[in-house]
Amino acid sequence: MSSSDNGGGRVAGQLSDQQMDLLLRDFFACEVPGALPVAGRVVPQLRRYPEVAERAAVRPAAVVRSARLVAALALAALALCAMLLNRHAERMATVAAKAKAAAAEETMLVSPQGSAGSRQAPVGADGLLLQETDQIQLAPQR
Amino acid sequence: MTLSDVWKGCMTSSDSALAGVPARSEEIACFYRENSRELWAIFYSMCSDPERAHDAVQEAFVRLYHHQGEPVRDLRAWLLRVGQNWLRDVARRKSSGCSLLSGLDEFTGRVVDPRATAELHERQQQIRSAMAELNEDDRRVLVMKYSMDWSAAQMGVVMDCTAAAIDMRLSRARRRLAEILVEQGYQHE
Repeated sequence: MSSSDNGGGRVAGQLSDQQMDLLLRDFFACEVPGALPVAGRVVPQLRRYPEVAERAAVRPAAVVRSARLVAALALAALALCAMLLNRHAERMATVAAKAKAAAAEETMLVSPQGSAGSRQAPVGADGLLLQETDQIQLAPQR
Repeated sequence: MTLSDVWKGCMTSSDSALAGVPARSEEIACFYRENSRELWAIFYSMCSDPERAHDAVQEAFVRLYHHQGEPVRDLRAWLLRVGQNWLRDVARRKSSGCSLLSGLDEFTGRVVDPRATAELHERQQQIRSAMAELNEDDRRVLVMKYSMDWSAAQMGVVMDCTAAAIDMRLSRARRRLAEILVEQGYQHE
């Protein structure tokens, strides 16, 4: 949006953005009462004024509460993760122990000839079929 | 200790001026130094009258000084509420008291050109009335930007939007104000 100057220094038509910027600076330089001190606070405190002026007294406390809530939730999440990891580790240890026990049971040989390959195959010259320890029959099976 | 002593402490912004001022008054004086300009800007954006906005600020602080009830938890919100209510009361009474020429006090003791002063006053009044025709948000960003020299980021906090949105709103507000001024026959020198 540009301005058009005529010979008398006056602008006919729209003022440019730059001209408006200068105009407003000059305007407020005269408009602001000289008795007012220069603002010392840089960060504006009010979120949106003046509609939320009523809530301004509550907001700082709410912000602190929400920060504490976030921190508490984060700690709870960390604790939960630690508990889950611990349980998983215990479960894995239990599974490993069972597997080890099972493996130990598997290697518990009952044949005097050592590892016998298939359990279903006869292992002895007399055709005895070797069963698991807890299923040892008193009578041979053919 | 009179109220004028408290105000002297406020206006001079000097620690020595606050010597002997009670602690509560000193707190109010410090709060005045830090916040009065912003409060003025808020009231000004509401009423478009610099003198009335200044009166609203002073009225709010005087009432704070005389406040005897429960301690005020949020001074800014309290002062804002008091100032707003005062402005509404004044508008309702349609006070038509004589308003001083803005900036006249600054000429005290100096030789001034009456014509220049009158032209300045007329120009100020024209821009003031044009600003009063803007919508509230446009007026607010212009007041925050040019009376307090806030950055777009700072204004974004107040207006609850991004700095880029603030820049766009500022540009739009200036453009709209320019249109109004031209419609009103404003002569820019």
